[in-house]
Amino acid sequence: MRKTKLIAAVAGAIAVATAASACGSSSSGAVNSSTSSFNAGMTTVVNPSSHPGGVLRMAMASDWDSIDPGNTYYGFSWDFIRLYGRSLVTWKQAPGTAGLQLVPDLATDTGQVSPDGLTWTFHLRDGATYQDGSVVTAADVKYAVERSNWGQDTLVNGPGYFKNIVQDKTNYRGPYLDKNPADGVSGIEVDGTDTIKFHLTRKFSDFPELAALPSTIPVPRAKDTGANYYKSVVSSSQYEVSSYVPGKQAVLVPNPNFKSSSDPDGIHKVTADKITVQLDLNQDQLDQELLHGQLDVDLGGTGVGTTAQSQILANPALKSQADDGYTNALTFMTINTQVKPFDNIDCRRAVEFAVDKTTVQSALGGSIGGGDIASTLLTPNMSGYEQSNRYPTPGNQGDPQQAKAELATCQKAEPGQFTGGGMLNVKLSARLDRPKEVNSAVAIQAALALANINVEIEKYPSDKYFSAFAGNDAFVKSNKIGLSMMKWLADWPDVFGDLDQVITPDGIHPGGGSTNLGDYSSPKVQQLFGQYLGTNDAATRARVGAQIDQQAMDDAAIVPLTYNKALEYHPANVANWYMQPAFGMPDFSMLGVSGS
Amino acid sequence: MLTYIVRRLLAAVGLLLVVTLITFWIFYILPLWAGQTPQSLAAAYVGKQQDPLALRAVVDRFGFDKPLFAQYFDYVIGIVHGRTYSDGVSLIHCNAPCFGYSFKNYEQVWPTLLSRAPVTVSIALGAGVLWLVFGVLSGVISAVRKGSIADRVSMGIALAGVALPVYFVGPLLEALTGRWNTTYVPFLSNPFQWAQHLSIPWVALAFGYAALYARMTRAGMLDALNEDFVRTARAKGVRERKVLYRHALRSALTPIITIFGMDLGAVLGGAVLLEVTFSLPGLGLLAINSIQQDDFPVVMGVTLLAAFFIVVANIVVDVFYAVVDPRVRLA
Amino acid sequence: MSGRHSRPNQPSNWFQPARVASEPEGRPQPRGAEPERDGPAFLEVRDLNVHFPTEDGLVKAVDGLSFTLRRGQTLGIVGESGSGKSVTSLALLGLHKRPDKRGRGGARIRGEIRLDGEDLVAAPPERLETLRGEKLAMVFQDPMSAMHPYYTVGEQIAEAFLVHNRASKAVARKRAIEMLDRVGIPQPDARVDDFPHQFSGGMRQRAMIAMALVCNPQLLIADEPTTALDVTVQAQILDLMRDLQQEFNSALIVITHDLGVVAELADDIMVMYAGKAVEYGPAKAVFTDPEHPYTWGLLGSMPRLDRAVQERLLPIPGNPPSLINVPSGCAFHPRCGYAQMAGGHCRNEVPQLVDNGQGTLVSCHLWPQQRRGLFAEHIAPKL
Repeated sequence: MRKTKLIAAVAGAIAVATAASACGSSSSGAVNSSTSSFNAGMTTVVNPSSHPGGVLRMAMASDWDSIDPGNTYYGFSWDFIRLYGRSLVTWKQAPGTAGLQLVPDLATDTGQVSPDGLTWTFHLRDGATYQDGSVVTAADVKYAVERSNWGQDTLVNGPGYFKNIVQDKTNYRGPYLDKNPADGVSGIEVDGTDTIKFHLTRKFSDFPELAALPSTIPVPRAKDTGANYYKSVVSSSQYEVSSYVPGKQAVLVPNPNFKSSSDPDGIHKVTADKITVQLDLNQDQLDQELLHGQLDVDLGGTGVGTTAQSQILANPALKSQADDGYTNALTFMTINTQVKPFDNIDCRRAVEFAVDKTTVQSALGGSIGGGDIASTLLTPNMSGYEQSNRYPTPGNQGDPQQAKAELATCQKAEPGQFTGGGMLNVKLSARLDRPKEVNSAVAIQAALALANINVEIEKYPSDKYFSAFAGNDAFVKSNKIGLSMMKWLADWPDVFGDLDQVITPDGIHPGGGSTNLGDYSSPKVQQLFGQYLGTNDAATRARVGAQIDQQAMDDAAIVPLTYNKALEYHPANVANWYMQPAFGMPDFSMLGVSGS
Repeated sequence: MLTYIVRRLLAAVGLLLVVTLITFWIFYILPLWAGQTPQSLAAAYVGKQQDPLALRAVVDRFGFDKPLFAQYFDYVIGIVHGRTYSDGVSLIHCNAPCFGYSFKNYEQVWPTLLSRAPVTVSIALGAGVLWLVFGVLSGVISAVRKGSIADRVSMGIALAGVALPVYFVGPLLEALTGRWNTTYVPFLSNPFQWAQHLSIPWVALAFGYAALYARMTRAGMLDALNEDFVRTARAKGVRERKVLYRHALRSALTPIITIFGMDLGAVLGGAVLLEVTFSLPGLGLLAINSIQQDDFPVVMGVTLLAAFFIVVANIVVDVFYAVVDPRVRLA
Repeated sequence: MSGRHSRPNQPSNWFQPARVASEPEGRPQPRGAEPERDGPAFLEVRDLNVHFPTEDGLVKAVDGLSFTLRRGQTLGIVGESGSGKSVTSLALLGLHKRPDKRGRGGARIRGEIRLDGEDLVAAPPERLETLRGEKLAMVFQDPMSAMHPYYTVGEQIAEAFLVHNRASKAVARKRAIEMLDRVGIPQPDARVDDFPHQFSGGMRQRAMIAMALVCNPQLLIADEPTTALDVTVQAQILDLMRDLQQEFNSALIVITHDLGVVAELADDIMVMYAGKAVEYGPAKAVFTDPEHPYTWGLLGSMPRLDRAVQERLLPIPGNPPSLINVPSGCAFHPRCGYAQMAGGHCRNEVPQLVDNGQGTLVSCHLWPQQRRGLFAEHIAPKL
């Protein structure tokens, strides 16, 4: 899960309180010369323009975890960061399934893998420079990967995928604890100024996806100030960060030393003279400014709030400027395989059959803005997604009879866990400051009651949900939390990027902070992941990806609830607007303003 | 008088120490009592993959595993003497008053507070002037024309003002004025825009206070107009207008100014609801966002600054009282 | 009043004006043994009514009051609280709140108050503002609350001067110092900058008097001028007022619940009960030959030095009447010990204020002979 916005919860509560007063007539939202239509951004680039100039005014209801490419884990950040940093590869700037392809950016191709599958080689583009005009070298990319993955003593936020699979014979402690520039990760080999090779400990066919992470955005060692690097990020892309004040504002201006010759595919084109990002706005206020043309883009990437959503849906002119796309996030409920009686698969299957997904969907906000009813772990945007439903129920409304039958089987094996009347008492955790999540927990409670499962809802604050409560093994076991509400946003849109941290031991952290809330691990799944990462054949990967999904569903470790969607609005003057499917949000890397 | 102020200031320092102790206890110690461990506290600061190095580093930086009194002692020493932090790359000397170091943004807390303070001060001063002027004015009119239409209307509005929270009034004003631009502009960069952009937040914040002040002023004026010394002034032949403002208002205003000082002190500590409603990047919004992000050092800093404003406002008010009312003797 | 012995030169029967004349200090006697009602009156009050409409009914605080006063003369108005004395004085100054446009609230004032021939009841508020402080002034009881706590004594005296005189602040301040000096404040040029709370009770009352006299008013009204003061200071203040009155030749009205206060000071005494005058005549006559049972009550409840300590005061039984439901007939009859002697008259008929033949007006249904007899037999021996 790339962290979603904590502040949105508070802002949302205030938005609800103010909804009554704030929702006057919205007919003043000027929409005249638009050629857009509802969901046009799902299939086409709306209002395409290469017309340079103007100020692109962005805002969001939260702030970055960090703008340092080696220290950020927010989805919008990975999307936006391409404006001031070039990773080796990136996601294609195209809507629909084309957008799920990787294309080279700083590298000349998406990576050459050795026949044994253990070495990946990238060559850097000629003429790639930093904002000070100096040349980007392969050593800088190596350093960037080292600092972000091995230097987590200082850069605590970012992902550490490279560290898990790249060879490291010297047990490197990272550039901040080991200040000798001669030391480094032995498995990352630099050849000349423009070739970099990664030697892996095992086959890893998702390596191009790793190369698309901000971890590979080059950082010159001489300019690195560790945790303070965010104050002076050195740009390698078309814009540079001219100022960033946490909690207030970020300003980007074109990087004069950017050479378009180093970007033959035209990924980085300056379309605005300046990009401003206001931070920590109230979501409701932000939405209104967006609808009234005082802002151009909501950088949060999680869609408009409920007030604006109803305004947009009620007004065809506004609706034609909106897109309701999948966010690549899944809302689901985990069933803890280590908490009795859910170590018994029949008890888990009973829960799978008992849940009424239609009531949960309403609780989460309905189809638009909420999501579509889910029956798989992979969401429809992802490669490997295959429609299937292991626990079909009439109209998705749950099947209490089938659930009771499963429960009866379970009761025979685990009679001690049931009350005299054959009732099962379980606890369901949810985040108390997320009203939609709590409401969906209540819906589940009602559905499970029909199947003789008595649910007690335990609510915990979202900021400690993983570290201290639902993701803390000791807490879960001592409090017998059998069920947990969960929402997960894929790191990248395939089975590994989505599910590695959710259904494998990689997501289990005994000291707290687990994201595999069900403590689920299956040798079969592990074996399938090995198979998945061991082949570079796209068709095989897609097939195995679907198998992993279905295996986890067969084991009834997770109850998928909805494939999340977000309603994104774009004012008519915003150019090059479309929904990037790999990020599950608008592509922020090429937006501009037109017709100023 | 001077010794009095010095003594009050010393007492204020003691009070602020107690405030630091309590806030420190709430943020750093209460969670441990509630069953959290240094590791689980640190887990909230680390990316989702929970790198052990990162966890260890966070524990070290915050000193979560140090004895509690040592953590608190370090904190207080930092305030009076400064202290040194490591951000992993270099040592950062944080000069006194060192209110800690935010490992969220890798900034010292004190400069962060100073950068946010102008917004809150702008809000407080502008709104304060508005609510004082309009509150007192309508209160006086109501009292003098007690029972008149003007009295009933303004007291009706005042009742509404007391009852309606700023997060209702704010969006209402925005809707009425048609998407007023409320982005903060520093006073020094453009005073006109500063005032223009802040005017709606000022009105929104001042409305409730003005209502309260109108009611207090009205009650105070009605009391004052029944005072013997007002009758004396009339018996001397002093003109009615002068009786009102020189004799009645002067004594009715004293408690109002006292409360004004306290209210202003509280608003200076962060007009949280207003700043959230209008997304004004002041101390209140900083506090809210820092709480959301578990940025304890900043939260503690804002809390202390707010306490400081209130304590200082108390002293100022007491001294002011002594200056205005010759019967009050400071000792 | 038990502190009275601290003034050694006080006559034993000190309240009687006739005896005051024999004082070793040789104070001048109060003039006018008889009220001179046919002389040129400076203040003439005719049939004054002050009524307050309230939610409970009409409060008749002053009901048909008439009296006159000449320059240099002193009138004492005596009565219990609620008898209408203070309401009368505020009416003289025009300090009652007027009813609003729809006739609600405030005081309804009818009758005539002629000051130097000018009717104050009919005068516009602005005219009264001009007259107040200049031509007629007032000394209030409890100077602690009657003076503004935030302004210096000097500022408050100077303000009274500046309201009616075009003068610089420096001149006004000088005038304030003069006045403080005149009323006997030591070191007036230093004390002028003191605040009221820095003055003692007696000094505050002197300052109040200074404030009232700063424009040489021709009519001075003193409402309970000595009530809040201890006995020694009372006497000093009374002396001061008498001296000043003679110096300025002003008319003086002293309002008090304590007959003792006006004993030395007043030429005429008017005893009020329930908004009406019940006995009105020369001070000497009222003290020596009081005719109204209520006056007897007042005299009887007055503490005296020559009375044996163990003798108890004779309070007037009962409470002052409600001014909304004033008792029928004579308002005093429920408390009057002699009401049955006049048959049903006292309960049924309002007694008229009539001359007893010796210059005193009395409103009582008893025959004059009855009254004199009762006083001589039952009352005088106990006084």
